[in-house]
Amino acid sequence: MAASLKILFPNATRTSWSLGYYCTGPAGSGNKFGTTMAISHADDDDTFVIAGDSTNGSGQVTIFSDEGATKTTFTDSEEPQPDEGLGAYVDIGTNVAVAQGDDGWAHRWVLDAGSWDKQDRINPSTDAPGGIFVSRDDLTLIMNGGVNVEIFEASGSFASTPPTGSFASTQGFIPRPNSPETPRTHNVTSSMAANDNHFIVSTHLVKIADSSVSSFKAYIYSRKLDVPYKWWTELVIALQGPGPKDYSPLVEDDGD
Amino acid sequence: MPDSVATSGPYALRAEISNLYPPVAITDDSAVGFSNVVTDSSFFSPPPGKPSTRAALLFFERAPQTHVWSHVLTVPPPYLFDFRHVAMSKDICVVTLGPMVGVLNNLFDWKYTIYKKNAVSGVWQFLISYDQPNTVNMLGCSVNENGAISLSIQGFT
Repeated sequence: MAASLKILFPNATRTSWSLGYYCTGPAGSGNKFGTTMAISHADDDDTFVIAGDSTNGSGQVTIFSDEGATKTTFTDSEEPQPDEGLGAYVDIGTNVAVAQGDDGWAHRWVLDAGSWDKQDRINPSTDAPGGIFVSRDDLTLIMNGGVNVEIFEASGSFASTPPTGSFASTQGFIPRPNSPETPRTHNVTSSMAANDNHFIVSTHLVKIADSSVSSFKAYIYSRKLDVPYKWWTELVIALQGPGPKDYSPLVEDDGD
Repeated sequence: MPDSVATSGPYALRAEISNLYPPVAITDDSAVGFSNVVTDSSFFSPPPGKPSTRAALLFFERAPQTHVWSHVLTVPPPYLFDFRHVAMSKDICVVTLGPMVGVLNNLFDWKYTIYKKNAVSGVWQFLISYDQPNTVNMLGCSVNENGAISLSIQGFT
């Protein structure tokens, strides 16, 4: 088996897509190039980040950037080595890329004069992360951990030489949906999506002993713009597994 | 076969859930997509001999200038695929689907499908689907505001 990567670009009317860039996995990538990835959200489409694993069991982060005809690959080798890269985010508007391994640690890169430089590591919230995001103003980092969601806010300057910026947890832990459930009785997976003002944490729970019992819960959190660093739960979407078939009227679920 | 699902109360839906990872995606500020949420059989007519549930892609949107999200659309996957990933930008939603099961039972046929939000009506609509054959697994998917799509693929040499 082999790992490959496709970048597809749309036509002018954005009604069809064609292959713009293709490559096979870097050395050591084995058959998994990346399990999560992010492509730059800016005018240029030349940079993208992939977080994946490798054949030797260590996590690997790859940043591709197109400076002329050169593609540059960076491989993370800093301890602790994650087993798998699970989160990736890149924003060329602020020249920031962030990737997260399954040990919870996140690494942040900054594009400086055409070169990606690793800047700092952010403390893990928990293990088994399920997503990562850094805001375009580069001041907020959201990490979805195994049990909690944690929001980090930046202080100092990342543009200075040497950089003085750092991230610190400001919100405390936000319990993830279904977090009291243990893996011994349930399989729990989680994912996250975010933008500057909202983030979603979803959890999918399947009870091992009875596969008919499952649930999907998604929480949407929003930033309260007039109160710095204040987030609150805006919407809970709860989809309960049926268990025994029951076609009684729908009952509102508050997500508990 | 309806293409939408009624909601009751604030976004409560009766559903069965697949055993797959439940991807979520959000646009710049106005729309959310969930995939691999398997709806109750009352919403979709299963193919003969297939389980009475099917995966679905759910869209939620936020009304402008408000913080009110509401469910706007549920679509089943085309063919006999399950959704695997979902990625969204302001008007583009990309989902990966696979593997093919059912009649052909070809586990190495995958697809990626693109939904687009109609600029006039504001409705999310199926746009185009591409084949991704000889694939063991699709591992990642991303889309940016320009509509550029990245895919991570596990395939055969």
